[in-house]
Amino acid sequence: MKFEHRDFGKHVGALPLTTLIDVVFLLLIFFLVTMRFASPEGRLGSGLQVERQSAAQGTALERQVVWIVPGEGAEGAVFRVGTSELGSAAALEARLRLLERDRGVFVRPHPDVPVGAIAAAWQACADAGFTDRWYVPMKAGGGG
Amino acid sequence: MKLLRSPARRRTRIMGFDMTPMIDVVLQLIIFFMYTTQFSQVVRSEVELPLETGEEEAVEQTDEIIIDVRADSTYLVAGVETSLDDVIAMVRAEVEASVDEPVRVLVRADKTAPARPLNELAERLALAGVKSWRLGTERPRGAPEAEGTP
Repeated sequence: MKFEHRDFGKHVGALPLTTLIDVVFLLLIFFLVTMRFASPEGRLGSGLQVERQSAAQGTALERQVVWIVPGEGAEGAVFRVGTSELGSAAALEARLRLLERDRGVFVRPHPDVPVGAIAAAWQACADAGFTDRWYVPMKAGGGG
Repeated sequence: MKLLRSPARRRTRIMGFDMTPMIDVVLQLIIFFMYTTQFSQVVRSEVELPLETGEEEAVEQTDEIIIDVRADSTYLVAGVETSLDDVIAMVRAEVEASVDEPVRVLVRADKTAPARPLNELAERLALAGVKSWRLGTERPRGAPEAEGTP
Protein backbone atom coordinates (compact mmCIF):
# COMPACT_ATOMS: atom_id res chain seq x y z
CA MET A 1 0.00 0.00 0.00
CA LYS A 2 1.30 3.21 -1.03
CA PHE A 3 0.20 6.13 0.91
CA GLU A 4 0.70 9.32 -0.87
CA HIS A 5 1.82 12.01 1.39
CA ARG A 6 0.38 15.14 0.03
CA ASP A 7 2.15 18.13 1.21
CA PHE A 8 -0.41 20.84 1.50
CA GLY A 9 2.00 23.21 3.24
CA LYS A 10 3.12 24.83 0.03
CA HIS A 11 -0.43 25.70 -1.11
CA VAL A 12 -1.99 26.89 2.16
CA GLY A 13 -3.15 30.51 1.85
CA ALA A 14 -2.34 30.83 -1.83
CA LEU A 15 -4.63 33.48 -3.32
CA PRO A 16 -5.57 33.74 -6.96
CA LEU A 17 -4.02 37.14 -7.50
CA THR A 18 -5.22 37.61 -11.04
CA THR A 19 -8.88 37.82 -10.05
CA LEU A 20 -8.10 40.13 -7.19
CA ILE A 21 -6.21 42.49 -9.46
CA ASP A 22 -9.07 42.50 -11.96
CA VAL A 23 -11.56 43.47 -9.27
CA VAL A 24 -9.26 46.13 -7.88
CA PHE A 25 -8.77 47.71 -11.29
CA LEU A 26 -12.49 47.63 -11.98
CA LEU A 27 -13.12 49.46 -8.71
CA LEU A 28 -10.48 51.99 -9.58
CA ILE A 29 -11.98 52.66 -12.98
CA PHE A 30 -15.43 52.95 -11.41
CA PHE A 31 -14.32 55.63 -8.99
CA LEU A 32 -12.35 57.46 -11.65
CA VAL A 33 -15.37 57.64 -13.91
CA THR A 34 -17.95 58.53 -11.28
CA MET A 35 -15.88 61.08 -9.43
CA ARG A 36 -16.96 64.62 -10.20
CA PHE A 37 -14.71 67.48 -9.46
CA ALA A 38 -16.94 70.07 -7.89
CA SER A 39 -16.47 73.57 -9.25
CA PRO A 40 -15.42 75.99 -6.54
CA GLU A 41 -18.31 78.22 -5.60
CA GLY A 42 -18.35 81.72 -4.25
CA ARG A 43 -20.97 83.74 -2.42
CA LEU A 44 -22.26 87.28 -2.83
CA GLY A 45 -24.32 88.61 0.03
CA SER A 46 -26.71 91.52 0.32
CA GLY A 47 -29.65 92.78 2.31
CA LEU A 48 -33.17 92.31 1.04
CA GLN A 49 -35.81 94.97 0.74
CA VAL A 50 -39.02 95.56 -1.12
CA GLU A 51 -39.83 98.91 -2.68
CA ARG A 52 -42.13 100.16 0.03
CA GLN A 53 -39.62 99.25 2.74
CA SER A 54 -36.86 101.23 1.08
CA ALA A 55 -39.15 104.21 0.62
CA ALA A 56 -40.27 104.02 4.22
CA GLN A 57 -36.69 104.28 5.40
CA GLY A 58 -36.84 107.96 4.70
CA THR A 59 -35.33 110.14 2.09
CA ALA A 60 -32.90 111.92 4.38
CA LEU A 61 -30.06 110.06 2.74
CA GLU A 62 -30.01 110.00 -1.01
CA ARG A 63 -29.99 106.42 -2.10
CA GLN A 64 -27.23 105.35 -4.41
CA VAL A 65 -28.94 103.08 -6.85
CA VAL A 66 -27.65 100.80 -9.56
CA TRP A 67 -30.45 100.14 -12.03
CA ILE A 68 -30.01 97.08 -14.20
CA VAL A 69 -32.14 97.35 -17.31
CA PRO A 70 -32.31 95.39 -20.58
CA GLY A 71 -29.78 96.61 -23.10
CA GLU A 72 -26.90 95.74 -25.35
CA GLY A 73 -24.24 95.70 -22.66
CA ALA A 74 -21.57 93.05 -22.19
CA GLU A 75 -23.64 91.15 -19.63
CA GLY A 76 -26.86 91.37 -21.65
CA ALA A 77 -27.98 94.44 -19.71
CA VAL A 78 -27.07 98.05 -19.11
CA PHE A 79 -26.20 99.49 -15.73
CA ARG A 80 -27.49 102.94 -14.79
CA VAL A 81 -26.00 104.97 -11.98
CA GLY A 82 -27.42 108.45 -11.79
CA THR A 83 -27.28 109.77 -15.33
CA SER A 84 -24.50 107.42 -16.42
CA GLU A 85 -25.25 104.41 -18.57
CA LEU A 86 -22.58 101.74 -18.38
CA GLY A 87 -22.24 98.72 -20.62
CA SER A 88 -19.88 96.54 -18.58
CA ALA A 89 -19.22 95.49 -15.01
CA ALA A 90 -15.72 96.97 -15.13
CA ALA A 91 -17.14 100.39 -16.08
CA LEU A 92 -19.75 100.05 -13.34
CA GLU A 93 -17.07 99.31 -10.76
CA ALA A 94 -15.05 102.33 -11.86
CA ARG A 95 -18.17 104.52 -11.57
CA LEU A 96 -19.07 103.10 -8.15
CA ARG A 97 -15.62 103.89 -6.80
CA LEU A 98 -16.52 107.57 -7.18
CA LEU A 99 -19.49 107.22 -4.83
CA GLU A 100 -19.56 107.34 -1.06
CA ARG A 101 -19.27 103.85 0.32
CA ASP A 102 -20.71 104.66 3.72
CA ARG A 103 -24.15 105.28 2.22
CA GLY A 104 -24.40 101.83 0.76
CA VAL A 105 -25.88 100.94 -2.60
CA PHE A 106 -29.19 99.59 -3.86
CA VAL A 107 -29.17 97.11 -6.71
CA ARG A 108 -32.43 97.25 -8.63
CA PRO A 109 -32.73 94.74 -11.49
CA HIS A 110 -35.46 94.82 -14.13
CA PRO A 111 -37.38 91.52 -14.33
CA ASP A 112 -36.14 90.84 -17.87
CA VAL A 113 -32.39 91.10 -17.34
CA PRO A 114 -30.36 87.88 -16.99
CA VAL A 115 -29.14 86.72 -13.59
CA GLY A 116 -25.57 86.93 -14.90
CA ALA A 117 -25.90 90.71 -15.17
CA ILE A 118 -27.22 90.93 -11.61
CA ALA A 119 -24.30 88.89 -10.33
CA ALA A 120 -21.88 91.07 -12.29
CA ALA A 121 -23.37 94.24 -10.78
CA TRP A 122 -23.33 92.69 -7.35
CA GLN A 123 -19.69 91.73 -7.76
CA ALA A 124 -18.83 95.22 -9.01
CA CYS A 125 -20.40 96.70 -5.88
CA ALA A 126 -18.38 94.34 -3.69
CA ASP A 127 -15.16 95.06 -5.58
CA ALA A 128 -15.78 98.81 -5.32
CA GLY A 129 -15.77 98.44 -1.55
CA PHE A 130 -19.47 98.64 -0.72
CA THR A 131 -20.24 96.52 2.32
CA ASP A 132 -23.85 97.76 2.65
CA ARG A 133 -25.63 96.41 -0.38
CA TRP A 134 -29.35 95.99 -0.80
CA TYR A 135 -31.29 94.04 -3.39
CA VAL A 136 -34.55 95.78 -4.20
CA PRO A 137 -36.55 94.12 -6.99
CA MET A 138 -37.84 96.42 -9.70
CA LYS A 139 -41.28 96.15 -11.26
CA ALA A 140 -41.49 96.00 -15.03
CA GLY A 141 -42.08 99.53 -16.25
CA GLY A 142 -39.67 101.10 -13.76
CA GLY A 143 -36.20 102.06 -14.82
CA GLY A 144 -34.88 104.91 -12.79
CA MET B 1 39.54 20.43 -13.01
CA LYS B 2 36.73 22.76 -12.82
CA LEU B 3 35.44 23.63 -16.19
CA LEU B 4 33.70 26.94 -16.68
CA ARG B 5 30.21 26.67 -17.84
CA SER B 6 29.78 27.72 -21.41
CA PRO B 7 27.40 30.62 -21.94
CA ALA B 8 25.10 28.42 -23.95
CA ARG B 9 24.43 26.29 -20.96
CA ARG B 10 23.66 29.11 -18.56
CA ARG B 11 20.18 29.08 -17.36
CA THR B 12 18.35 32.28 -18.06
CA ARG B 13 16.39 33.41 -15.11
CA ILE B 14 13.15 35.12 -15.74
CA MET B 15 12.65 37.92 -13.25
CA GLY B 16 9.29 37.50 -11.55
CA PHE B 17 7.09 40.57 -11.30
CA ASP B 18 6.24 41.27 -7.70
CA MET B 19 2.55 42.17 -7.62
CA THR B 20 2.27 42.94 -3.93
CA PRO B 21 3.47 46.58 -3.96
CA MET B 22 1.37 47.28 -7.04
CA ILE B 23 -1.75 46.02 -5.33
CA ASP B 24 -0.89 48.10 -2.29
CA VAL B 25 -0.59 51.22 -4.42
CA VAL B 26 -3.82 50.50 -6.27
CA LEU B 27 -5.71 49.96 -3.02
CA GLN B 28 -4.29 53.21 -1.67
CA LEU B 29 -5.56 54.98 -4.79
CA ILE B 30 -8.99 53.48 -4.34
CA ILE B 31 -9.13 54.61 -0.74
CA PHE B 32 -8.01 58.07 -1.83
CA PHE B 33 -10.71 58.36 -4.46
CA MET B 34 -13.35 57.05 -2.11
CA TYR B 35 -12.57 59.76 0.40
CA THR B 36 -12.20 62.60 -2.04
CA THR B 37 -15.33 61.97 -4.05
CA GLN B 38 -17.69 64.67 -2.96
CA PHE B 39 -20.92 62.85 -2.37
CA SER B 40 -22.56 65.99 -1.06
CA GLN B 41 -22.48 67.46 -4.54
CA VAL B 42 -24.96 64.85 -5.70
CA VAL B 43 -27.81 66.70 -4.03
CA ARG B 44 -26.86 69.99 -5.67
CA SER B 45 -28.86 70.40 -8.82
CA GLU B 46 -27.15 71.34 -12.01
CA VAL B 47 -27.49 75.04 -12.56
CA GLU B 48 -25.02 77.15 -14.44
CA LEU B 49 -24.01 79.69 -11.85
CA PRO B 50 -22.78 83.16 -12.82
CA LEU B 51 -19.02 83.25 -13.21
CA GLU B 52 -17.93 85.63 -10.48
CA THR B 53 -15.31 85.49 -7.75
CA GLY B 54 -17.76 86.26 -4.99
CA GLU B 55 -16.80 87.96 -1.80
CA GLU B 56 -16.30 84.81 0.21
CA GLU B 57 -15.46 81.23 -0.36
CA ALA B 58 -18.37 78.83 -0.23
CA VAL B 59 -18.43 77.07 3.12
CA GLU B 60 -20.95 74.32 3.68
CA GLN B 61 -23.54 75.55 6.16
CA THR B 62 -25.87 72.89 7.46
CA ASP B 63 -28.50 75.37 8.61
CA GLU B 64 -28.71 77.20 5.30
CA ILE B 65 -31.77 77.06 3.07
CA ILE B 66 -30.58 76.53 -0.48
CA ILE B 67 -32.95 77.48 -3.26
CA ASP B 68 -32.01 76.76 -6.85
CA VAL B 69 -33.54 78.76 -9.68
CA ARG B 70 -33.28 77.05 -13.04
CA ALA B 71 -33.12 78.67 -16.44
CA ASP B 72 -36.82 77.91 -16.99
CA SER B 73 -37.65 79.92 -13.83
CA THR B 74 -38.57 76.90 -11.70
CA TYR B 75 -37.51 76.66 -8.09
CA LEU B 76 -35.76 73.67 -6.57
CA VAL B 77 -35.12 72.83 -2.95
CA ALA B 78 -32.87 69.83 -2.29
CA GLY B 79 -33.21 68.85 -5.93
CA VAL B 80 -37.01 68.74 -5.80
CA GLU B 81 -39.08 71.11 -7.90
CA THR B 82 -41.10 73.26 -5.53
CA SER B 83 -43.59 76.05 -6.06
CA LEU B 84 -42.78 79.53 -4.81
CA ASP B 85 -45.57 79.33 -2.24
CA ASP B 86 -44.10 76.13 -0.77
CA VAL B 87 -40.62 77.63 -0.72
CA ILE B 88 -41.87 80.66 1.18
CA ALA B 89 -43.86 78.46 3.57
CA MET B 90 -40.66 76.53 4.29
CA VAL B 91 -38.72 79.73 4.87
CA ARG B 92 -41.45 81.22 7.03
CA ALA B 93 -41.41 78.13 9.24
CA GLU B 94 -37.64 78.50 9.63
CA VAL B 95 -37.97 82.19 10.47
CA GLU B 96 -40.53 81.42 13.15
CA ALA B 97 -38.41 78.61 14.57
CA SER B 98 -35.16 80.63 14.61
CA VAL B 99 -35.61 83.22 17.28
CA ASP B 100 -32.03 84.23 17.99
CA GLU B 101 -30.25 83.40 14.77
CA PRO B 102 -31.13 85.01 11.45
CA VAL B 103 -32.23 82.60 8.77
CA ARG B 104 -29.58 82.00 6.13
CA VAL B 105 -30.79 81.75 2.56
CA LEU B 106 -28.59 80.88 -0.37
CA VAL B 107 -29.95 81.26 -3.89
CA ARG B 108 -28.20 79.40 -6.70
CA ALA B 109 -29.68 80.89 -9.84
CA ASP B 110 -28.84 79.92 -13.38
CA LYS B 111 -27.00 82.77 -15.05
CA THR B 112 -29.28 82.62 -18.11
CA ALA B 113 -32.47 82.76 -16.06
CA PRO B 114 -34.35 86.07 -16.18
CA ALA B 115 -34.45 88.21 -13.07
CA ARG B 116 -38.23 87.83 -12.77
CA PRO B 117 -38.24 84.64 -10.61
CA LEU B 118 -35.36 86.02 -8.57
CA ASN B 119 -37.22 89.28 -8.01
CA GLU B 120 -40.39 87.46 -7.00
CA LEU B 121 -38.40 85.29 -4.63
CA ALA B 122 -36.61 88.30 -3.16
CA GLU B 123 -39.87 90.14 -2.59
CA ARG B 124 -41.57 87.18 -0.94
CA LEU B 125 -38.50 86.43 1.21
CA ALA B 126 -38.33 90.03 2.40
CA LEU B 127 -42.01 89.91 3.33
CA ALA B 128 -41.46 86.58 5.12
CA GLY B 129 -38.90 88.22 7.37
CA VAL B 130 -35.62 87.32 5.70
CA LYS B 131 -33.27 90.26 6.10
CA SER B 132 -30.39 89.11 3.91
CA TRP B 133 -29.48 86.46 1.44
CA ARG B 134 -26.58 85.29 -0.64
CA LEU B 135 -26.22 84.53 -4.32
CA GLY B 136 -24.16 81.52 -5.36
CA THR B 137 -21.51 82.02 -8.02
CA GLU B 138 -18.97 79.83 -9.72
CA ARG B 139 -15.48 81.02 -9.06
CA PRO B 140 -13.41 81.25 -12.22
CA ARG B 141 -10.41 78.92 -12.19
CA GLY B 142 -7.29 80.77 -11.18
CA ALA B 143 -9.26 83.49 -9.43
CA PRO B 144 -7.48 85.05 -6.44
CA GLU B 145 -8.62 83.98 -2.99
CA ALA B 146 -11.64 85.90 -1.71
CA GLU B 147 -11.21 88.03 1.40
CA GLY B 148 -13.37 85.89 3.62
CA THR B 149 -11.48 82.70 2.86
CA PRO B 150 -10.20 81.03 6.04
